[in-house]
Amino acid sequence: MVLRKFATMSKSRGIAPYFYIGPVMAILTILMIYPMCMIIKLALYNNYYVVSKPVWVGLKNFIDFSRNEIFWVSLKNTVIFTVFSVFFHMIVGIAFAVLLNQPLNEIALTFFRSILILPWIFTAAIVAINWQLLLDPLGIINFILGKLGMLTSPVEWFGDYFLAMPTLIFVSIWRGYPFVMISILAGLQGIPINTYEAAKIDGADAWQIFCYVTLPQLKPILLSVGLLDTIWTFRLFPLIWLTTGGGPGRATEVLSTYTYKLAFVRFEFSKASALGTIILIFVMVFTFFYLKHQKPV
Amino acid sequence: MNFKRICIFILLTTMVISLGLFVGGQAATGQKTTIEWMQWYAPHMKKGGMDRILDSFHVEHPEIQVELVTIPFGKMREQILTSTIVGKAGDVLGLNPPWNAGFVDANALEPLGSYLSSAREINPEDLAHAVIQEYKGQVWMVPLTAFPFVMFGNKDRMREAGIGTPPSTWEELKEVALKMTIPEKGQYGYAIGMSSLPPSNGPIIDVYPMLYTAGGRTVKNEMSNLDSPEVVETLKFLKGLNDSGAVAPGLNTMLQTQKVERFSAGEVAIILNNQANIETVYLRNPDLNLVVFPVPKKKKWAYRMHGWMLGISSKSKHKKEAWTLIEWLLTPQVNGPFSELSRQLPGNLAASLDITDPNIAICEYMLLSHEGVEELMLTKQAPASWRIFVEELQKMFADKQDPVTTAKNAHKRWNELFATAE
Amino acid sequence: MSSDKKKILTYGALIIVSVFSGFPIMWMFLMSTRPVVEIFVVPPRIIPQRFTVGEYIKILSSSKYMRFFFNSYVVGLSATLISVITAIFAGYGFSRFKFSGSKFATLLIVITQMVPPITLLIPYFIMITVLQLYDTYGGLIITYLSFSLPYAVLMLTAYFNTIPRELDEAALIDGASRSRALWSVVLPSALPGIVSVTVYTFLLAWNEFLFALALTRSYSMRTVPVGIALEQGEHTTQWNTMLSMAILGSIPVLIIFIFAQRYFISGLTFGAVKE
Repeated sequence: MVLRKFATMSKSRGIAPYFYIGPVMAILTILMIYPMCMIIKLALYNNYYVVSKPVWVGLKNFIDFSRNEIFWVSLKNTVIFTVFSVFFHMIVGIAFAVLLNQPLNEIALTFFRSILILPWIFTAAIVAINWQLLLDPLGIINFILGKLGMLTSPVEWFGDYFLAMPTLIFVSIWRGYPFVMISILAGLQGIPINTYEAAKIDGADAWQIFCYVTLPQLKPILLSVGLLDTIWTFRLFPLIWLTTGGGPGRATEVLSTYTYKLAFVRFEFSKASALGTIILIFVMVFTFFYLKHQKPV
Repeated sequence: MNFKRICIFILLTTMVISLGLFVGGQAATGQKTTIEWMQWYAPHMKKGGMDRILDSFHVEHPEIQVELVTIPFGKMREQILTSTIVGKAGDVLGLNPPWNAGFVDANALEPLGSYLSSAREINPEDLAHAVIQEYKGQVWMVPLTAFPFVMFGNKDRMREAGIGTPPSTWEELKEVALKMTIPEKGQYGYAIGMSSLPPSNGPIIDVYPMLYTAGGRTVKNEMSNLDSPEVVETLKFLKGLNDSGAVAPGLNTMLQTQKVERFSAGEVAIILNNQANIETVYLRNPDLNLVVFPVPKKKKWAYRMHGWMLGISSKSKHKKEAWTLIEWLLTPQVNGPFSELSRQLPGNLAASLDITDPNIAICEYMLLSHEGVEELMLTKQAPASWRIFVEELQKMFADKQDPVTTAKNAHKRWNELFATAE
Repeated sequence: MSSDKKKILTYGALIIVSVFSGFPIMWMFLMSTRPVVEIFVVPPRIIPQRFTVGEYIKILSSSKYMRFFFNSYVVGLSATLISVITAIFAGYGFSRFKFSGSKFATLLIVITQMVPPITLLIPYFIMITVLQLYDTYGGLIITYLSFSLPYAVLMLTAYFNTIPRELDEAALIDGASRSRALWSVVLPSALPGIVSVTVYTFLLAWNEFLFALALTRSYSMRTVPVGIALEQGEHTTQWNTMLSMAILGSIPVLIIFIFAQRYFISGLTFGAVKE
C-alpha cells in the first residue's frame, strides 16, 4: 500500500520545524507554566489565600488523601464514569459517523448531521437542566415509560443510589458522542472510495471492510480522540456538578466535584490543589502507558 | 491561496483581535469616587427597581458613583472569595447570612462596629435583631431586607379536602397533608427538597424552621447540637410525614426552587418557603389561592430569619464611601421603597410599609411578635455543614438509617468539621 | 442485500438515532415556549396549553441579552481563528518533521490538557488581572486559547498523519516551498479534519462557563453561559428564559455548521497520487 519514506524528510532542515511549532509552544508555555507552578506550590501548605500565615506542610495533604475515605470513593466513581463514558462515546461516535458516511441524498445527510451534532452545542448548565426536567420523577420520561407499562411508580433517576451513576453516564454519552462522531467523520472523508471498491472486488463484506480497511486508516485519529476524550472525561466537572452535585450522598462524587467542594465550599485551597495535582499525576501515568503502547506513525 | 496572502490575512486578524483586547468593560469616571457593589439583587427586583434606587442615590450623593456588578446567586459566594483573593472584590458586598463565619475567617470582611455606632441617619436598634450578631466580637453585616420563613398553602386544595383553617401544630400538619394527598391525580400534601445539587440547602429550609418551633437549635457554643432531643424529634416527624406518603416523590433530586414550582402548578398543597417567594407564586399562577401562615408549632411560635445583607470588603479602598451607600440604603425612607421593589420586608424595622396583602401582613406580624432565629451566621463552614446534613437526611428518607442514627452521624461529622475550621 | 434495502435500513437507523439526539432538544424547545407553571404541571404535557414565544421576544428585544450573544461570538470566533491557524502550523511541524524534542513537546501539550480547570481558576484570575486583561475580550480569548490549542494541535497532527507524504513530496519535487506544500496541497486534503477542529474549538469557547464568569464583571462583557446562569436566582429560576436563550444562541451556530458541511466532503484529490 502506501510507503512512508523518512529518508527524504527533513533531518537536514534543522530549524524549520521549530518555526512551525514555535508559536504554539510559546503560548502554551507562558499560559500554563505559572498556573501549574502555583497549584503545586499551594498543595505543599496547610492552606493558602484564606489564612494570614500559610504553614508549610510538605506532602502532608497528599498523604492525608490516601487515608481519606471520600478520596477513594471519588476515585472509584471517576474511574467507572470515565471508562463507561469513553467506551460508549467511541462506539456511538464511530457508529454514527459510519452511518453518516453512507452514500445517501446530500440534503438528507446534511439534515441528519445537524441533528446528531445538537447535544454538543449547548452549555453544560443547559444540558443538566434539560435532563433534570426530562428525568424528573414526575416528568415526561417517567410518564411515557409508565404509559408503556414499564414502570409502576415514579423512578428517581438522579436520586436513586444505584441509578444515579448509570443515568449520569447516559447523559454524558448523549452529550459527548458528537466529539467522536465529527472527528471520525472527518477522518472517514480521507479514505478514498476506490479503496473500499478494491476491497469489495476482493470479496470482502461490510464488516471486514470496516475492520481491515476503515479502522486502520482511522488509527491516528482514533488514538488521539481516545486519549483526549479519556483525559477530558476524567477531569470533567460542570456536567456532573450541575446534574447531580455529586449526589445522592456520594453516589456520583468524582475527583473533580470533590476538588470543587474542597476549594469553594470549604475554602481549603491547599487540599484542593493537592487533589488537582493527584488528578494530574493519574492522567500523566495513563497517558504515558497509552503513548508507549502506540507505535510511532 | 499563496503564502503571502495567508500572512496578510493572519496579520489583519491579529490586529483586529488586539484591538479587541483593549475593548473592556466600564471606563473610569471623572472626579467622583467610584465604588463597586457586588450583588445578586438587581435581577430579583421589580423591573428597573435597582436603577431607580441608584439614581436617587446619585442625586443625593453626587460625589459617589456606584458601579453595579451582578453575579448569579449560585456563584456569589465563590466569586466574593476569589475576587477578594485577587484583590478585585469591590467595595460594598451583597451577602447571605450563612456566609458570615466563613468570610470573616477568610479575612474578607470589614468590621462594621465603628460605622454603626457613629451612624447618624439610622438607629442601629431599629435593624432586625435576629440578623445582627457578633462573631469574634464584631458585627460584619447589616440587614438590607429581612423576612421570615413561612408556610404556603393552597386554599383551593384545602377547601376540597374540607380543611377550614391552616394547620397550627405539627400533628395537624401531618393530618392535613395526608388528607390532601391523592397520588392518582398527582397531588401531594407536602414536599421536601433534599437535592445534592448546589446550594444543597434543603435542611435549612425544610428542617431548621420546624426545629425552631420545637425550641431547638442546631449549634450551641460553636459546636454541634444535633444530638439534642429537639433535633431528633424534628427528624422523626419529617420521616413520619414522608413514610405516610404525603410527601411528593423525588426528595433526593428536588431543588428548593422546583418545590416552589410544584406548589405553583398545584401539585403540592403545602410547602415551607419564605416571604420573598410570595409574589413568585402570584406571578407563576395567578389562579392559585395562596394562603400564608406561620410554620406550625411544636412548642412555641418561632421562625427562621433570612434576608439580604450588606457588608464592606476588607480589601476595599473606599470604605467610608461604601458605608455611605450602606447607611443610605438602610435609612427608613430608602429601605421602605427598596424592600417593596425587592418584594421583601425591610431590614430597618422603622421603615413604614403600606401592606395591603394579608399574606404579607402575616409575615410582618410574625417578624414583630414571634421569635426570630438565625443560627447560620455564627456557624463555621455553614454550607459544608448543610451538605453533611443533606447526605445523612437522604439516607434517612431512603430508609437506610433511622432518625436517631441520622442525628448522631451528622452530629459526629459536624464536630469533626468544626474542629478543622480555625 | 440489495442497495435499496440497505438504503432504507440506513435511513431507518438514522431516524432512530436522530430521535435519541433530537428529542431532548425538542423538549427543550417545547419547555421554552410555555409559562413556567406549565413546565411543572402533572401529568406532563408535551404540547403546551399556552404556547408563547414571549421569552424569545423578550430576549431578542433586549440589548442586554443580545450583548451576551455578541460577546460569545466575538470571543469564540477570535479564539478559534488564532487557535486553528497556529495549530495548523504546529500540526504540520509535528507530522512532517522528525526533530529532537518532538516527543517532549507532544508530552507537554498533552499535559496541559490534564490540569483540572477548577484548580486553574485562581491562578488564571491572578494572571489575567496582572496582565490588565480583566473584564476584556482579550482575557477570555487568551484563556480559551490555552484550553483549545493543545486539542487543536493534537488532532491536526493526527489528521495530517493520515495524509500520505507523497503528496508533499510531489509538490516539493515540483519546486514548491514547504509552506506552499502545506497550504496548497496538504490543507485541501485535510479540510474535513480542519473543519471538525474548528467546530470543536468554537464550541469549547462558546460553552465555557467557569472562566467566563470569573474573568468578566460588567454586563457588556459577559457571554451567553453567564447570562443563562443569571436567570437562576436565590429562590426561583426562570427556566423558560434560560432554555430560550440557549436555543436562540445555538441557531446561528447550527446555521454556520450547516454551511461548513460543504467542506466536510472530500476525497477528491486523492485518487491522483495513489494509483
